[in-house]
Amino acid sequence: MKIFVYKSLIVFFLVFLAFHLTFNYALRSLERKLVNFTSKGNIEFLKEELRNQLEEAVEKEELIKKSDALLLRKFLDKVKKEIYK
Amino acid sequence: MKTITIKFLDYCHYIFFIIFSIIGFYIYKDYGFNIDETFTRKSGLYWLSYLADIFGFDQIYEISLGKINSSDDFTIPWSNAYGIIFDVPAAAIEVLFSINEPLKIYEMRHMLTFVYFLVGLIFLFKILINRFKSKFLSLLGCLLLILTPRVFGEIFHNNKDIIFLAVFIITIYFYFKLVDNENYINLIFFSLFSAIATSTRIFGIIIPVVYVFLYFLSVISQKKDLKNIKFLILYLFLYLSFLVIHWPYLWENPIDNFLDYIFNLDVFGPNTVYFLGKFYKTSLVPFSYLPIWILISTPILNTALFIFGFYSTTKFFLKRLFLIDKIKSKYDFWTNNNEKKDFFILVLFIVYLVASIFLSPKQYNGWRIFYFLNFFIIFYSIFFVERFIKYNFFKKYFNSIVCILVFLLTINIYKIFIYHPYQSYYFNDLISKSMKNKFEGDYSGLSGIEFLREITSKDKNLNIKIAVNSWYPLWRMQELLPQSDKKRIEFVFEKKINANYIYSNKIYDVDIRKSKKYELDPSFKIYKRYIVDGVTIYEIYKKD
Repeated sequence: MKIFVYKSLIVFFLVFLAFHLTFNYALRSLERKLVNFTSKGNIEFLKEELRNQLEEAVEKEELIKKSDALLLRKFLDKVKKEIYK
Repeated sequence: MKTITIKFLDYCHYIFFIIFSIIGFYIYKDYGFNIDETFTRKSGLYWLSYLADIFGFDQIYEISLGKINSSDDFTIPWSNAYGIIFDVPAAAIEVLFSINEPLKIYEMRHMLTFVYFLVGLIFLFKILINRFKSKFLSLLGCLLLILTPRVFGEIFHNNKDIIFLAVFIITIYFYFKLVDNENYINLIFFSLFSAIATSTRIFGIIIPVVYVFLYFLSVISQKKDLKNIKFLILYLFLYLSFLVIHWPYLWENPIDNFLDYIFNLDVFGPNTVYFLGKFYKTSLVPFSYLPIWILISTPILNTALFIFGFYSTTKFFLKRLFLIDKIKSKYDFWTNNNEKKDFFILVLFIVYLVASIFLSPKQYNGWRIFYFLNFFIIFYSIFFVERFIKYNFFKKYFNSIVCILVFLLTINIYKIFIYHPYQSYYFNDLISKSMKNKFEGDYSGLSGIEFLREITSKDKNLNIKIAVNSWYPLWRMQELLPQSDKKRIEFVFEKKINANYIYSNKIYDVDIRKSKKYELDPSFKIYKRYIVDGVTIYEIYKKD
């Protein structure tokens, strides 16, 4: 009987450790990433980044390459044509 | 000559404690003011007024109430749930001796914190004497504890964690006494201090749990022990009674208030912690947080001795566990009282370590909340030294090893000396200087008063505008300055650009890599950076 009790205690302890070092570890890492991503600080940071990127883009002389612009125009013309068909 | 030596050895512990007391009383004013002190002071005054009201001490009631109302803002949410073992005596001294000058109030509290620690240290000595029966080893244990810079730096201002360390040590002492002699006096003291430990820090609740667990194990080994259940029930009854009697927070609604306290632990403390160069939410720090902190901020000597001591104890008990069906002694895990004490300490330590790493709702301010674990570090260190001497390990190299020990102790003394009065922020030499700044530094805000004193002595202008560029209520320190200097200081809260000086202890409540909250105007240039052993304690910026 006592051997059974000791073994149960050891198994319980090992399961507890295994749970925390595997499942809970992964869960915590995921939660940390999620919290970091959705945090107010990060959203502010992303907004600021977006603002900076837009400003940089506006200052550029040529926003899109000529070949890309041509491709886009063709694509939009095609879409327009199909919509009003 | 021989008689003199024997007499000296008889009294050497008195000499040790007297010298340590003299040092403590000589330097306690050197320390800055802990960010939590206004909170604990308010808690003490609150409960003092409550008790004075109940017991009809009208004058004390009015004075303490007046003092609470004059208390200013707090960075942590107000809670009356904290234990009163330090806070109420401190508030009583303040009221009874009419200490009204803010500087004197805090100095008195620092002295009292030191006194509590001193009592804890004396009990540590008694524990080690009880267990190892050697004055030399007991004094070595006490020396190792006080030469742990992070502990030494806290014993003058940390009136939460150091008080818990002291109460925890006293509780363990009475457990040892109870193992030696199972009588009612020892049981009463053990239950009383278990209750005080629980109210001081919730970790104290683990002591009765482990006590019950050991009883359970003894019953498994020896069914006859079942008749001692009366003793266990009496312990639990006394523990719960003392818990309610000495903790006024539980007087009105004991169960609900106690559960409320346990389940709302995460409201205390900051929300962000800086660890390994990254900002983490305090409830989501990596599991490696506590082990890494212990490893980098405990002297290498203590860590090494602890590892050896812990290894030999664990090995001993694991061997017993694996050979359990061959054991012929009365109990499965211990054959005598000393082994029972060792087993209790081992189980307690494992439970604390596992609970601290995996179940703690928050981790912040380095590992100050877990400074009571230093008791285990010291216990296992002495355990190893005892084995080392007893079994003559490395007999050939004995003298060399003693020289290394003395050398490492000297390094600790040297570090305490160079860090003074910022030993609370000590790091050992396992990490590089640049790495040291990837962890939180002055989280207690000890440097605030030094900064203000420095600026008021150097800058003779009648109006000095100061702003704070970190998460720290520096303005609280203003009342601690002399009247003439107090008037000259003006705090700038909104437009930092108008300040003459900007102070930062580099503790932040947001991720500064992403937030602009603590971005400084380029017109401010670094004026001074206070660095100790590579650790930046604080910075001052001045307008160009």
